[in-house]
Amino acid sequence: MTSAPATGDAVARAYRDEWARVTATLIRHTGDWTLAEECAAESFARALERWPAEGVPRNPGAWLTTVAKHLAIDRLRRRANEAAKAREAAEMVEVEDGRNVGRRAGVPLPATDAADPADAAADGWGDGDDSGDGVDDRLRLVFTCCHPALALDARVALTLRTLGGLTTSEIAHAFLVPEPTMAQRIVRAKQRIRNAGIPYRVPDAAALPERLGGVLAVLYLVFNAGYSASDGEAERRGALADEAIRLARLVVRLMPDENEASSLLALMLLQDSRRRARVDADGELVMLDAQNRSRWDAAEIESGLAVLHVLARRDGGRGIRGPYRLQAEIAACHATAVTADDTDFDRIAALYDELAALDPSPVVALNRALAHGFAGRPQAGLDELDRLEASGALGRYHLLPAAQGELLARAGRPDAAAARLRAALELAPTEPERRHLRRRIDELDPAS
Amino acid sequence: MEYLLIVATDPEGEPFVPEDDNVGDWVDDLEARGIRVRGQRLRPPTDATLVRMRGGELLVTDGPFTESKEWMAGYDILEVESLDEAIEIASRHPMARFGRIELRPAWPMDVHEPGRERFERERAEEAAAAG
Repeated sequence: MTSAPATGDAVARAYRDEWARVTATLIRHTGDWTLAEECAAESFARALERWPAEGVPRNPGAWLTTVAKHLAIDRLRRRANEAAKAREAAEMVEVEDGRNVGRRAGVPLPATDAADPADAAADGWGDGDDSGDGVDDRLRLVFTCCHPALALDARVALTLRTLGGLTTSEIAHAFLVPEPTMAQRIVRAKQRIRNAGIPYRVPDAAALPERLGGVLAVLYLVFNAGYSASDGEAERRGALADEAIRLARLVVRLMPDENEASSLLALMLLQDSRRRARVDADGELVMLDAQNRSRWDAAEIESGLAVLHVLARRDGGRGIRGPYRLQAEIAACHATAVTADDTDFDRIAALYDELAALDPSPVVALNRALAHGFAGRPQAGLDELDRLEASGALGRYHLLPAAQGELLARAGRPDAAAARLRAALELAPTEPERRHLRRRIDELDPAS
Repeated sequence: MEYLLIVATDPEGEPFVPEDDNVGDWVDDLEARGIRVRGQRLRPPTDATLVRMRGGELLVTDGPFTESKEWMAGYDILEVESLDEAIEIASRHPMARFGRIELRPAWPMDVHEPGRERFERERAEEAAAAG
Protein backbone atom coordinates (compact mmCIF):
# COMPACT_ATOMS: atom_id res chain seq x y z
CA MET A 1 0.00 0.00 0.00
CA THR A 2 1.47 3.32 -1.02
CA SER A 3 0.82 6.34 1.15
CA ALA A 4 -1.00 9.32 -0.29
CA PRO A 5 1.91 11.80 -0.01
CA ALA A 6 4.23 9.32 -1.71
CA THR A 7 1.86 8.87 -4.63
CA GLY A 8 1.40 12.65 -4.74
CA ASP A 9 5.15 12.92 -5.19
CA ALA A 10 5.05 10.22 -7.84
CA VAL A 11 2.42 12.15 -9.78
CA ALA A 12 4.42 15.37 -9.43
CA ARG A 13 7.52 13.56 -10.67
CA ALA A 14 5.59 12.00 -13.54
CA TYR A 15 4.28 15.45 -14.43
CA ARG A 16 7.83 16.76 -14.71
CA ASP A 17 9.10 13.72 -16.59
CA GLU A 18 6.16 12.72 -18.73
CA TRP A 19 4.06 15.80 -19.52
CA ALA A 20 5.89 16.56 -22.75
CA ARG A 21 5.73 12.95 -23.93
CA VAL A 22 1.99 12.57 -23.25
CA THR A 23 1.15 15.92 -24.88
CA ALA A 24 3.46 15.42 -27.85
CA THR A 25 2.01 11.99 -28.60
CA LEU A 26 -1.55 13.28 -28.41
CA ILE A 27 -0.78 16.20 -30.71
CA ARG A 28 0.57 13.81 -33.33
CA HIS A 29 -2.53 11.64 -33.16
CA THR A 30 -5.17 14.35 -33.01
CA GLY A 31 -3.52 17.42 -34.54
CA ASP A 32 -5.42 19.39 -31.92
CA TRP A 33 -3.10 21.14 -29.47
CA THR A 34 -5.75 22.30 -27.06
CA LEU A 35 -7.42 18.90 -26.92
CA ALA A 36 -4.00 17.31 -26.34
CA GLU A 37 -3.20 19.62 -23.43
CA GLU A 38 -6.62 19.19 -21.85
CA CYS A 39 -6.48 15.41 -22.05
CA ALA A 40 -2.89 15.33 -20.80
CA ALA A 41 -3.90 17.45 -17.81
CA GLU A 42 -6.92 15.22 -17.19
CA SER A 43 -4.74 12.10 -17.26
CA PHE A 44 -2.65 13.49 -14.40
CA ALA A 45 -5.84 14.27 -12.47
CA ARG A 46 -6.88 10.62 -12.95
CA ALA A 47 -3.46 9.52 -11.70
CA LEU A 48 -3.97 11.53 -8.52
CA GLU A 49 -7.31 9.78 -8.02
CA ARG A 50 -6.25 6.26 -8.85
CA TRP A 51 -2.59 5.78 -7.97
CA PRO A 52 -3.13 6.00 -4.17
CA ALA A 53 -5.46 2.98 -4.34
CA GLU A 54 -4.03 1.08 -7.29
CA GLY A 55 -0.38 1.83 -6.72
CA VAL A 56 2.01 3.72 -9.01
CA PRO A 57 2.21 1.91 -12.36
CA ARG A 58 5.54 0.43 -13.35
CA ASN A 59 5.64 2.68 -16.42
CA PRO A 60 3.85 5.91 -15.43
CA GLY A 61 4.40 7.50 -18.86
CA ALA A 62 2.70 4.63 -20.69
CA TRP A 63 -0.19 4.61 -18.18
CA LEU A 64 -0.72 8.37 -18.56
CA THR A 65 -0.47 8.25 -22.34
CA THR A 66 -3.03 5.45 -22.56
CA VAL A 67 -5.48 7.26 -20.28
CA ALA A 68 -4.98 10.53 -22.16
CA LYS A 69 -5.52 8.80 -25.50
CA HIS A 70 -8.81 7.29 -24.36
CA LEU A 71 -9.96 10.66 -23.09
CA ALA A 72 -9.08 12.18 -26.45
CA ILE A 73 -10.91 9.49 -28.39
CA ASP A 74 -14.00 9.96 -26.20
CA ARG A 75 -13.97 13.68 -26.80
CA LEU A 76 -13.47 13.34 -30.54
CA ARG A 77 -16.35 10.85 -30.71
CA ARG A 78 -18.57 13.13 -28.73
CA ARG A 79 -17.69 16.03 -30.99
CA ALA A 80 -18.40 13.94 -34.08
CA ASN A 81 -21.79 12.86 -32.69
CA GLU A 82 -22.75 16.42 -31.90
CA ALA A 83 -21.70 17.52 -35.36
CA ALA A 84 -23.69 14.67 -36.92
CA LYS A 85 -26.78 15.63 -34.89
CA ALA A 86 -26.39 19.24 -35.87
CA ARG A 87 -26.04 18.23 -39.49
CA GLU A 88 -29.11 16.01 -39.37
CA ALA A 89 -31.09 18.82 -37.79
CA ALA A 90 -29.90 21.27 -40.42
CA GLU A 91 -30.79 18.88 -43.23
CA MET A 92 -34.26 18.29 -41.77
CA VAL A 93 -34.85 22.01 -41.69
CA GLU A 94 -33.73 22.28 -45.27
CA VAL A 95 -36.02 19.45 -46.37
CA GLU A 96 -38.94 21.06 -44.59
CA ASP A 97 -38.06 24.38 -46.16
CA GLY A 98 -38.04 22.67 -49.55
CA ARG A 99 -34.52 23.90 -50.17
CA ASN A 100 -32.13 21.97 -52.32
CA VAL A 101 -30.37 19.61 -49.91
CA GLY A 102 -28.12 18.30 -52.61
CA ARG A 103 -26.42 21.55 -53.33
CA ARG A 104 -23.54 20.83 -51.01
CA ALA A 105 -22.77 17.52 -52.63
CA GLY A 106 -19.06 17.09 -53.12
CA VAL A 107 -18.17 19.95 -50.81
CA PRO A 108 -17.81 18.50 -47.35
CA LEU A 109 -18.16 20.98 -44.54
CA PRO A 110 -15.42 20.76 -41.95
CA ALA A 111 -17.89 19.32 -39.42
CA THR A 112 -18.76 16.33 -41.59
CA ASP A 113 -15.15 15.21 -41.45
CA ALA A 114 -15.17 15.22 -37.68
CA ALA A 115 -16.23 11.58 -37.43
CA ASP A 116 -13.05 10.51 -39.13
CA PRO A 117 -10.29 11.75 -36.80
CA ALA A 118 -11.70 9.85 -33.85
CA ASP A 119 -11.91 6.58 -35.70
CA ALA A 120 -8.70 7.10 -37.58
CA ALA A 121 -6.96 8.04 -34.38
CA ALA A 122 -8.41 5.07 -32.51
CA ASP A 123 -7.41 2.71 -35.30
CA GLY A 124 -3.93 4.11 -35.54
CA TRP A 125 -3.26 3.95 -31.82
CA GLY A 126 -1.72 0.57 -31.32
CA ASP A 127 0.26 -0.42 -28.28
CA GLY A 128 3.34 1.58 -29.16
CA ASP A 129 3.72 5.35 -29.35
CA ASP A 130 6.16 5.15 -32.16
CA SER A 131 5.03 6.86 -35.32
CA GLY A 132 7.04 4.36 -37.31
CA ASP A 133 9.93 6.63 -38.23
CA GLY A 134 11.62 6.28 -34.85
CA VAL A 135 11.32 10.00 -34.13
CA ASP A 136 10.41 10.95 -30.59
CA ASP A 137 7.23 13.02 -30.64
CA ARG A 138 8.76 15.45 -28.17
CA LEU A 139 11.33 16.40 -30.79
CA ARG A 140 8.56 17.26 -33.26
CA LEU A 141 7.00 19.36 -30.52
CA VAL A 142 10.27 21.19 -29.84
CA PHE A 143 10.67 22.22 -33.46
CA THR A 144 7.04 23.18 -33.98
CA CYS A 145 6.91 25.30 -30.80
CA CYS A 146 10.09 27.12 -31.89
CA HIS A 147 9.13 27.52 -35.56
CA PRO A 148 10.46 30.78 -37.03
CA ALA A 149 7.03 31.57 -38.53
CA LEU A 150 5.80 32.18 -34.97
CA ALA A 151 6.57 35.43 -33.18
CA LEU A 152 9.36 35.08 -30.64
CA ASP A 153 7.13 35.71 -27.63
CA ALA A 154 4.68 33.12 -28.97
CA ARG A 155 7.50 30.58 -29.34
CA VAL A 156 8.55 31.17 -25.75
CA ALA A 157 5.00 30.90 -24.40
CA LEU A 158 4.14 27.80 -26.43
CA THR A 159 7.39 26.06 -25.47
CA LEU A 160 6.80 26.65 -21.78
CA ARG A 161 3.13 25.68 -21.96
CA THR A 162 3.14 22.68 -24.26
CA LEU A 163 6.63 21.27 -23.80
CA GLY A 164 7.31 22.45 -20.27
CA GLY A 165 3.81 21.90 -18.89
CA LEU A 166 3.73 25.27 -17.12
CA THR A 167 0.25 26.69 -16.71
CA THR A 168 -0.74 29.84 -18.56
CA SER A 169 -0.94 31.60 -15.21
CA GLU A 170 2.62 30.58 -14.30
CA ILE A 171 3.97 31.80 -17.63
CA ALA A 172 2.06 35.08 -17.39
CA HIS A 173 3.41 35.57 -13.88
CA ALA A 174 7.00 34.89 -14.90
CA PHE A 175 6.89 37.41 -17.75
CA LEU A 176 4.86 40.01 -15.83
CA VAL A 177 2.06 39.87 -18.39
CA PRO A 178 -1.65 39.78 -17.48
CA GLU A 179 -2.98 36.22 -17.65
CA PRO A 180 -5.63 36.93 -20.34
CA THR A 181 -2.89 38.44 -22.53
CA MET A 182 -0.77 35.30 -22.18
CA ALA A 183 -3.78 33.04 -22.78
CA GLN A 184 -4.56 34.99 -25.94
CA ARG A 185 -0.95 34.74 -27.09
CA ILE A 186 -1.02 30.95 -26.73
CA VAL A 187 -4.40 30.59 -28.47
CA ARG A 188 -3.19 32.73 -31.38
CA ALA A 189 0.01 30.72 -31.67
CA LYS A 190 -1.94 27.47 -31.90
CA GLN A 191 -4.30 28.96 -34.49
CA ARG A 192 -1.34 30.13 -36.49
CA ILE A 193 0.23 26.67 -36.45
CA ARG A 194 -2.94 25.26 -37.95
CA ASN A 195 -3.78 28.09 -40.35
CA ALA A 196 -0.30 28.76 -41.70
CA GLY A 197 0.40 25.04 -42.15
CA ILE A 198 3.33 24.82 -39.73
CA PRO A 199 4.13 21.10 -39.76
CA TYR A 200 4.52 18.81 -36.77
CA ARG A 201 7.84 17.53 -37.91
CA VAL A 202 11.56 17.58 -37.32
CA PRO A 203 13.12 19.64 -40.12
CA ASP A 204 15.08 17.81 -42.79
CA ALA A 205 18.86 17.72 -42.71
CA ALA A 206 19.28 20.82 -44.89
CA ALA A 207 17.17 23.02 -42.63
CA LEU A 208 18.16 21.43 -39.32
CA PRO A 209 21.21 23.51 -38.31
CA GLU A 210 19.36 26.79 -38.70
CA ARG A 211 16.19 25.52 -37.06
CA LEU A 212 18.10 23.99 -34.15
CA GLY A 213 19.77 27.37 -33.66
CA GLY A 214 16.29 28.84 -33.35
CA VAL A 215 15.28 26.27 -30.72
CA LEU A 216 18.40 26.92 -28.65
CA ALA A 217 17.84 30.68 -28.88
CA VAL A 218 14.35 30.26 -27.39
CA LEU A 219 15.69 28.14 -24.52
CA TYR A 220 18.50 30.61 -23.80
CA LEU A 221 16.02 33.47 -23.86
CA VAL A 222 13.88 31.66 -21.26
CA PHE A 223 17.01 31.00 -19.19
CA ASN A 224 18.10 34.63 -19.28
CA ALA A 225 14.64 35.87 -18.41
CA GLY A 226 15.00 33.78 -15.27
CA TYR A 227 18.67 34.38 -14.62
CA SER A 228 18.81 38.13 -14.99
CA ALA A 229 15.91 38.63 -12.63
CA SER A 230 16.46 41.34 -10.10
CA ASP A 231 14.80 42.77 -7.02
CA GLY A 232 11.83 40.89 -5.61
CA GLU A 233 11.17 38.91 -8.74
CA ALA A 234 14.30 36.76 -8.41
CA GLU A 235 12.58 33.77 -6.89
CA ARG A 236 9.62 33.74 -9.23
CA ARG A 237 11.82 34.01 -12.27
CA GLY A 238 14.34 31.52 -10.96
CA ALA A 239 11.75 28.93 -11.94
CA LEU A 240 12.28 29.98 -15.57
CA ALA A 241 16.01 29.28 -15.35
CA ASP A 242 15.25 25.84 -13.87
CA GLU A 243 12.74 25.19 -16.62
CA ALA A 244 15.18 26.26 -19.35
CA ILE A 245 17.81 23.87 -17.98
CA ARG A 246 15.28 21.04 -17.83
CA LEU A 247 14.22 21.69 -21.45
CA ALA A 248 17.86 21.94 -22.57
CA ARG A 249 18.51 18.55 -20.95
CA LEU A 250 15.55 17.15 -22.86
CA VAL A 251 16.83 18.54 -26.18
CA VAL A 252 20.29 17.10 -25.47
CA ARG A 253 18.78 13.70 -24.68
CA LEU A 254 16.80 13.83 -27.92
CA MET A 255 19.71 15.06 -30.04
CA PRO A 256 22.87 13.84 -28.28
CA ASP A 257 25.08 14.45 -31.32
CA GLU A 258 24.28 18.14 -31.63
CA ASN A 259 27.28 19.85 -30.02
CA GLU A 260 25.71 23.27 -29.74
CA ALA A 261 22.73 21.87 -27.81
CA SER A 262 25.09 20.23 -25.32
CA SER A 263 27.14 23.41 -25.18
CA LEU A 264 24.08 25.49 -24.34
CA LEU A 265 23.25 23.10 -21.51
CA ALA A 266 26.80 23.43 -20.16
CA LEU A 267 26.61 27.21 -20.44
CA MET A 268 23.32 27.35 -18.53
CA LEU A 269 24.59 25.04 -15.79
CA LEU A 270 27.79 27.02 -15.32
CA GLN A 271 26.01 30.37 -15.26
CA ASP A 272 23.25 29.09 -13.03
CA SER A 273 25.79 27.73 -10.54
CA ARG A 274 26.36 31.36 -9.51
CA ARG A 275 22.70 32.17 -8.98
CA ARG A 276 22.80 32.17 -5.16
CA ALA A 277 26.03 34.19 -5.04
CA ARG A 278 24.78 36.95 -7.34
CA VAL A 279 22.72 38.50 -4.57
CA ASP A 280 23.95 39.01 -1.02
CA ALA A 281 22.01 38.73 2.25
CA ASP A 282 20.71 42.31 1.81
CA GLY A 283 19.47 41.60 -1.68
CA GLU A 284 22.34 43.56 -3.24
CA LEU A 285 23.69 42.54 -6.62
CA VAL A 286 27.20 41.06 -6.31
CA MET A 287 29.50 41.20 -9.33
CA LEU A 288 31.43 38.10 -10.38
CA ASP A 289 34.79 39.17 -8.94
CA ALA A 290 33.26 39.94 -5.54
CA GLN A 291 31.09 36.83 -5.24
CA ASN A 292 31.52 34.40 -2.37
CA ARG A 293 32.66 31.42 -4.39
CA SER A 294 31.74 28.97 -1.65
CA ARG A 295 28.13 29.84 -2.47
CA TRP A 296 28.51 28.63 -6.03
CA ASP A 297 26.68 25.38 -6.72
CA ALA A 298 29.50 22.83 -6.96
CA ALA A 299 27.22 20.10 -8.33
CA GLU A 300 26.04 22.31 -11.18
CA ILE A 301 29.62 23.33 -12.00
CA GLU A 302 30.56 19.65 -11.99
CA SER A 303 27.69 18.83 -14.40
CA GLY A 304 28.55 21.72 -16.72
CA LEU A 305 32.24 20.78 -16.83
CA ALA A 306 31.34 17.15 -17.47
CA VAL A 307 29.34 18.16 -20.56
CA LEU A 308 32.27 20.23 -21.83
CA HIS A 309 34.60 17.34 -21.16
CA VAL A 310 32.51 15.04 -23.35
CA LEU A 311 32.52 17.66 -26.12
CA ALA A 312 36.29 18.10 -25.92
CA ARG A 313 36.81 14.35 -26.11
CA ARG A 314 34.48 14.18 -29.08
CA ASP A 315 36.34 16.75 -31.18
CA GLY A 316 39.80 16.02 -29.84
CA GLY A 317 40.12 19.72 -29.05
CA ARG A 318 40.31 20.53 -32.74
CA GLY A 319 36.71 20.79 -33.93
CA ILE A 320 34.95 23.99 -34.87
CA ARG A 321 33.54 25.50 -31.71
CA GLY A 322 30.17 27.20 -31.99
CA PRO A 323 29.08 30.30 -30.07
CA TYR A 324 27.48 28.38 -27.17
CA ARG A 325 30.55 26.20 -26.84
CA LEU A 326 32.82 29.23 -26.63
CA GLN A 327 30.58 30.95 -24.09
CA ALA A 328 30.44 27.78 -22.02
CA GLU A 329 34.24 27.52 -22.10
CA ILE A 330 34.43 31.12 -20.91
CA ALA A 331 31.96 30.38 -18.09
CA ALA A 332 34.09 27.33 -17.20
CA CYS A 333 37.19 29.55 -16.82
CA HIS A 334 35.32 31.58 -14.22
CA ALA A 335 33.81 28.54 -12.54
CA THR A 336 37.17 26.84 -12.04
CA ALA A 337 39.07 29.87 -10.73
CA VAL A 338 39.63 29.57 -6.98
CA THR A 339 39.64 33.35 -6.57
CA ALA A 340 38.79 36.18 -8.95
CA ASP A 341 42.52 36.99 -9.25
CA ASP A 342 43.28 33.43 -10.31
CA THR A 343 40.96 33.72 -13.33
CA ASP A 344 42.74 32.83 -16.57
CA PHE A 345 41.88 36.01 -18.45
CA ASP A 346 44.38 35.27 -21.19
CA ARG A 347 42.39 32.18 -22.08
CA ILE A 348 39.09 34.08 -21.73
CA ALA A 349 40.40 36.83 -24.04
CA ALA A 350 41.45 34.21 -26.61
CA LEU A 351 38.00 32.59 -26.42
CA TYR A 352 36.38 36.00 -26.93
CA ASP A 353 38.60 36.57 -29.97
CA GLU A 354 37.22 33.32 -31.41
CA LEU A 355 33.65 34.24 -30.42
CA ALA A 356 33.90 37.74 -31.93
CA ALA A 357 34.94 36.17 -35.23
CA LEU A 358 31.74 34.09 -35.25
CA ASP A 359 29.42 36.67 -33.73
CA PRO A 360 30.28 40.27 -34.60
CA SER A 361 27.72 41.70 -32.16
CA PRO A 362 28.65 44.80 -30.15
CA VAL A 363 27.94 43.07 -26.81
CA VAL A 364 30.50 40.37 -27.64
CA ALA A 365 32.95 43.11 -28.68
CA LEU A 366 32.40 44.82 -25.33
CA ASN A 367 33.08 41.66 -23.36
CA ARG A 368 36.11 40.91 -25.51
CA ALA A 369 37.53 44.36 -24.73
CA LEU A 370 36.94 43.80 -21.03
CA ALA A 371 38.63 40.39 -21.15
CA HIS A 372 41.74 41.86 -22.79
CA GLY A 373 41.72 44.64 -20.21
CA PHE A 374 41.50 42.15 -17.34
CA ALA A 375 44.25 40.05 -18.94
CA GLY A 376 46.69 42.87 -18.14
CA ARG A 377 46.09 45.01 -21.23
CA PRO A 378 43.77 47.76 -19.93
CA GLN A 379 44.80 50.28 -22.58
CA ALA A 380 44.10 47.85 -25.43
CA GLY A 381 40.70 47.20 -23.90
CA LEU A 382 39.99 50.91 -23.51
CA ASP A 383 40.97 51.60 -27.13
CA GLU A 384 38.57 48.90 -28.26
CA LEU A 385 35.79 50.36 -26.09
CA ASP A 386 36.46 53.81 -27.57
CA ARG A 387 36.05 52.38 -31.06
CA LEU A 388 32.85 50.69 -29.95
CA GLU A 389 31.54 53.96 -28.48
CA ALA A 390 32.41 55.85 -31.66
CA SER A 391 30.50 53.29 -33.74
CA GLY A 392 27.35 54.11 -31.79
CA ALA A 393 26.33 50.45 -31.95
CA LEU A 394 25.63 50.24 -28.23
CA GLY A 395 23.71 53.49 -28.04
CA ARG A 396 22.91 54.31 -24.44
CA TYR A 397 23.81 50.87 -23.07
CA HIS A 398 24.94 51.41 -19.46
CA LEU A 399 27.48 48.59 -19.51
CA LEU A 400 29.65 50.48 -22.01
CA PRO A 401 30.59 53.36 -19.65
CA ALA A 402 30.64 50.84 -16.78
CA ALA A 403 33.25 48.77 -18.65
CA GLN A 404 35.25 51.90 -19.43
CA GLY A 405 35.16 52.78 -15.72
CA GLU A 406 36.46 49.37 -14.67
CA LEU A 407 39.31 49.41 -17.18
CA LEU A 408 40.25 53.00 -16.28
CA ALA A 409 40.42 51.90 -12.64
CA ARG A 410 42.76 49.05 -13.67
CA ALA A 411 44.84 51.53 -15.67
CA GLY A 412 45.38 53.52 -12.46
CA ARG A 413 43.09 56.44 -13.33
CA PRO A 414 40.47 56.44 -10.52
CA ASP A 415 39.12 59.93 -11.25
CA ALA A 416 38.42 59.19 -14.90
CA ALA A 417 37.03 55.80 -13.82
CA ALA A 418 34.57 57.38 -11.37
CA ALA A 419 33.43 59.81 -14.07
CA ARG A 420 32.57 56.97 -16.46
CA LEU A 421 30.81 55.04 -13.69
CA ARG A 422 28.71 58.15 -12.99
CA ALA A 423 27.74 58.17 -16.65
CA ALA A 424 26.78 54.49 -16.32
CA LEU A 425 24.75 55.32 -13.22
CA GLU A 426 22.63 57.71 -15.28
CA LEU A 427 21.77 54.92 -17.72
CA ALA A 428 21.48 51.84 -15.51
CA PRO A 429 17.95 50.41 -15.76
CA THR A 430 17.58 48.59 -12.43
CA GLU A 431 17.97 49.71 -8.85
CA PRO A 432 20.38 46.90 -7.81
CA GLU A 433 22.66 47.89 -10.68
CA ARG A 434 22.49 51.55 -9.66
CA ARG A 435 23.37 50.62 -6.05
CA HIS A 436 26.32 48.58 -7.25
CA LEU A 437 27.59 51.48 -9.36
CA ARG A 438 27.25 53.90 -6.44
CA ARG A 439 29.31 51.57 -4.25
CA ARG A 440 32.02 51.36 -6.93
CA ILE A 441 32.08 55.14 -7.32
CA ASP A 442 32.49 55.52 -3.54
CA GLU A 443 35.39 53.08 -3.56
CA LEU A 444 37.19 54.92 -6.34
CA ASP A 445 36.39 58.45 -5.25
CA PRO A 446 35.59 58.45 -1.53
CA ALA A 447 35.47 62.27 -1.49
CA SER A 448 32.39 62.46 -3.71
CA MET B 1 -1.95 22.88 -48.50
CA GLU B 2 -2.27 25.60 -51.07
CA TYR B 3 -0.11 28.72 -50.79
CA LEU B 4 -0.05 31.91 -52.78
CA LEU B 5 3.49 33.24 -53.20
CA ILE B 6 3.23 36.98 -53.53
CA VAL B 7 6.43 37.93 -55.32
CA ALA B 8 7.23 41.55 -54.52
CA THR B 9 9.93 44.11 -55.09
CA ASP B 10 11.90 45.27 -52.09
CA PRO B 11 14.21 48.30 -51.99
CA GLU B 12 16.28 46.41 -49.42
CA GLY B 13 16.71 43.38 -51.66
CA GLU B 14 19.99 42.37 -53.23
CA PRO B 15 20.85 44.26 -56.44
CA PHE B 16 19.20 42.72 -59.51
CA VAL B 17 21.69 40.81 -61.66
CA PRO B 18 19.98 39.69 -64.92
CA GLU B 19 22.39 36.73 -65.33
CA ASP B 20 21.29 35.39 -61.94
CA ASP B 21 17.59 35.56 -62.72
CA ASN B 22 17.11 31.78 -62.95
CA VAL B 23 13.37 31.56 -62.57
CA GLY B 24 13.26 28.95 -65.38
CA ASP B 25 15.46 26.59 -63.33
CA TRP B 26 13.17 27.17 -60.38
CA VAL B 27 10.08 26.10 -62.35
CA ASP B 28 11.88 23.14 -63.98
CA ASP B 29 13.07 21.92 -60.61
CA LEU B 30 9.56 22.05 -59.17
CA GLU B 31 8.13 20.20 -62.14
CA ALA B 32 10.85 17.55 -61.83
CA ARG B 33 9.85 17.12 -58.21
CA GLY B 34 6.22 16.74 -59.19
CA ILE B 35 5.13 19.88 -57.36
CA ARG B 36 2.23 21.64 -58.99
CA VAL B 37 2.86 25.34 -59.46
CA ARG B 38 1.26 27.95 -61.65
CA GLY B 39 2.05 31.59 -61.70
CA GLN B 40 2.78 34.71 -63.67
CA ARG B 41 4.80 37.86 -63.71
CA LEU B 42 2.61 40.94 -63.29
CA ARG B 43 2.70 44.26 -65.09
CA PRO B 44 3.59 47.15 -62.76
CA PRO B 45 0.94 49.12 -60.84
CA THR B 46 1.03 51.82 -63.54
CA ASP B 47 -0.81 49.35 -65.78
CA ALA B 48 -3.36 48.42 -63.14
CA THR B 49 -7.07 49.18 -63.22
CA LEU B 50 -9.14 49.74 -60.13
CA VAL B 51 -12.76 48.60 -60.03
CA ARG B 52 -15.26 49.65 -57.36
CA MET B 53 -19.02 49.51 -57.01
CA ARG B 54 -20.38 52.20 -54.73
CA GLY B 55 -24.09 52.67 -54.25
CA GLY B 56 -24.73 50.59 -57.36
CA GLU B 57 -22.48 52.79 -59.44
CA LEU B 58 -19.41 51.44 -61.21
CA LEU B 59 -16.18 53.36 -60.72
CA VAL B 60 -13.23 52.47 -62.91
CA THR B 61 -9.91 54.25 -62.45
CA ASP B 62 -6.31 53.66 -63.41
CA GLY B 63 -3.56 52.78 -60.97
CA PRO B 64 -1.31 53.06 -59.13
CA PHE B 65 -3.23 53.21 -55.91
CA THR B 66 -0.47 53.96 -53.45
CA GLU B 67 3.04 55.21 -53.97
CA SER B 68 5.07 52.28 -52.76
CA LYS B 69 8.50 50.88 -53.45
CA GLU B 70 7.25 47.41 -52.60
CA TRP B 71 4.77 46.26 -55.19
CA MET B 72 3.53 42.90 -56.29
CA ALA B 73 5.57 41.81 -59.28
CA GLY B 74 4.18 38.31 -59.71
CA TYR B 75 2.51 35.37 -58.11
CA ASP B 76 2.74 31.62 -57.89
CA ILE B 77 0.25 29.14 -56.53
CA LEU B 78 1.79 26.08 -54.90
CA GLU B 79 0.29 22.86 -53.65
CA VAL B 80 2.56 21.37 -50.95
CA GLU B 81 2.37 19.41 -47.71
CA SER B 82 3.26 22.13 -45.25
CA LEU B 83 4.70 25.57 -44.62
CA ASP B 84 8.22 24.14 -44.35
CA GLU B 85 8.04 22.89 -47.93
CA ALA B 86 6.61 26.23 -49.10
CA ILE B 87 9.42 28.10 -47.32
CA GLU B 88 12.06 25.87 -48.90
CA ILE B 89 10.59 26.48 -52.38
CA ALA B 90 10.13 30.22 -51.87
CA SER B 91 13.69 30.55 -50.59
CA ARG B 92 15.02 29.32 -53.95
CA HIS B 93 12.95 31.69 -56.09
CA PRO B 94 15.27 34.35 -57.55
CA MET B 95 13.00 37.10 -56.24
CA ALA B 96 13.67 35.92 -52.67
CA ARG B 97 17.09 37.48 -53.29
CA PHE B 98 16.18 40.49 -55.46
CA GLY B 99 12.92 41.24 -53.70
CA ARG B 100 10.84 39.34 -51.22
CA ILE B 101 8.17 36.70 -51.14
CA GLU B 102 5.12 36.59 -48.94
CA LEU B 103 3.54 33.20 -48.33
CA ARG B 104 -0.20 33.26 -47.86
CA PRO B 105 -1.99 30.02 -47.01
CA ALA B 106 -5.26 29.44 -48.85
CA TRP B 107 -8.33 29.51 -46.63
CA PRO B 108 -10.67 26.93 -48.16
CA MET B 109 -14.38 27.59 -48.00
CA ASP B 110 -17.64 26.21 -49.24
CA VAL B 111 -18.63 28.98 -51.65
CA HIS B 112 -22.25 27.90 -51.53
CA GLU B 113 -22.62 28.13 -47.77
CA PRO B 114 -24.83 31.16 -47.13
CA GLY B 115 -22.74 34.13 -46.00
CA ARG B 116 -24.66 34.59 -42.77
CA GLU B 117 -24.21 30.94 -41.76
CA ARG B 118 -20.50 31.03 -42.51
CA PHE B 119 -20.09 34.26 -40.57
CA GLU B 120 -21.89 32.87 -37.50
CA ARG B 121 -20.15 29.49 -37.64
CA GLU B 122 -16.67 30.96 -37.92
CA ARG B 123 -17.34 33.43 -35.15
CA ALA B 124 -18.50 30.58 -32.89
CA GLU B 125 -15.43 28.51 -33.76
CA GLU B 126 -13.19 31.45 -32.99
CA ALA B 127 -14.87 31.89 -29.60
CA ALA B 128 -14.57 28.17 -28.85
CA ALA B 129 -10.87 28.17 -29.68
CA ALA B 130 -10.27 31.11 -27.36
CA GLY B 131 -11.88 29.12 -24.55
